[in-house]
Amino acid sequence: MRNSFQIWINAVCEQVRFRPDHRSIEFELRDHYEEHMQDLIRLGRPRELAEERALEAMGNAQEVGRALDKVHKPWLGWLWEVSRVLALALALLLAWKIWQNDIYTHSLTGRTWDQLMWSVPASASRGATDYLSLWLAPGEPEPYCEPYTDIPLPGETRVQLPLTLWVETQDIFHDDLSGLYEDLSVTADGQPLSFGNYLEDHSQLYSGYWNYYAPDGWRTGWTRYRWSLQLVLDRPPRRVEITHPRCGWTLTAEWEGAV
Amino acid sequence: MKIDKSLMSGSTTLLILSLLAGEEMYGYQMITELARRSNHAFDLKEGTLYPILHGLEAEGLVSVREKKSPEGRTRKYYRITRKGRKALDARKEEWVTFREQVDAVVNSASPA
Repeated sequence: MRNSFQIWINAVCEQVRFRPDHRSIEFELRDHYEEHMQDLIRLGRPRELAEERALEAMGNAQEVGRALDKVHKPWLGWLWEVSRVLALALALLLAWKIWQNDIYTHSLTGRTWDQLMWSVPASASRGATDYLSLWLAPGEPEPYCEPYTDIPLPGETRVQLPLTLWVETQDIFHDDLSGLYEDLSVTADGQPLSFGNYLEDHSQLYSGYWNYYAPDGWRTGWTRYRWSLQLVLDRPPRRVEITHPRCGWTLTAEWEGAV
Repeated sequence: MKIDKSLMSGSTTLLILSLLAGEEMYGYQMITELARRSNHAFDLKEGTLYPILHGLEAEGLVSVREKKSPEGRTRKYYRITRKGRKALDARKEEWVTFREQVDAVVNSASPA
């Protein structure tokens, strides 16, 4: 009679066009059938008769199947399945973004941008090199928007310092600012760092590199640049100083509440 | 006394929602409970119950969860939702009006 139930449930499911629901329908109806049968056995019916009565009570398989098919509409089912997959993908993407952001601003640095305090002496906020005029925009250290994706090596602490610089380029051939970062000297808690604008040296301790881009486009004259100073240290710093010796200004970044 | 199927078909949803208003139940339990409460007057068929239950779920009037029963079997339990309670109130009101009107007509019939 168990085979009879299998034949019955197969006939029900045949009518239901949305196949992903077959398993759940079978699970529920089988449970119903088995409990009914057990109840009949408890009431003293012989097993075979109990199985037969329980199966009869389930009704006509085609009719039950057709009625279930009206509810388990294929287009609705697939819409539900697709939306579930999309929701899962979205959740994973969000989790990845949060994780990445966490690495970016918190986990690796042990410091957050919220704690970062810049001090820019007013008298030294302007300067000039041979071909550049510099102006640190007042009150405008902005987060550098490009995600920081490097994974630190054991024993390393990566720190990212965002800042905004206004630069007047006087020579169109030097508008890549390559001369600027070469002139700058950077210290972390008093210890000098070696610098480049490429990645080749950045895995050495007490080194770093610059990233920058111009949100308003590349041009001569006064241009706003978003800068990001990436440091490779052995511990989170309390104080970072960026000095342009020839211009005579020092930019200081300190973390509030840093130990 | 068994009730004529056609009399019952219009009120099956009302009966199911009324059962679930008290507690969450699984399908077989609903059938036995309905028979018990109606003194075996209502004999709901399995083939009728599940399409209605699945339809109520699709409409958001009931929600489903899988739960282990006290005997250790995993079952699908149905629970009435807030939307389901509102629908139940509306159906009850509809039923009361219907019953009053039927009573009014039936009781007004004078012997020829």
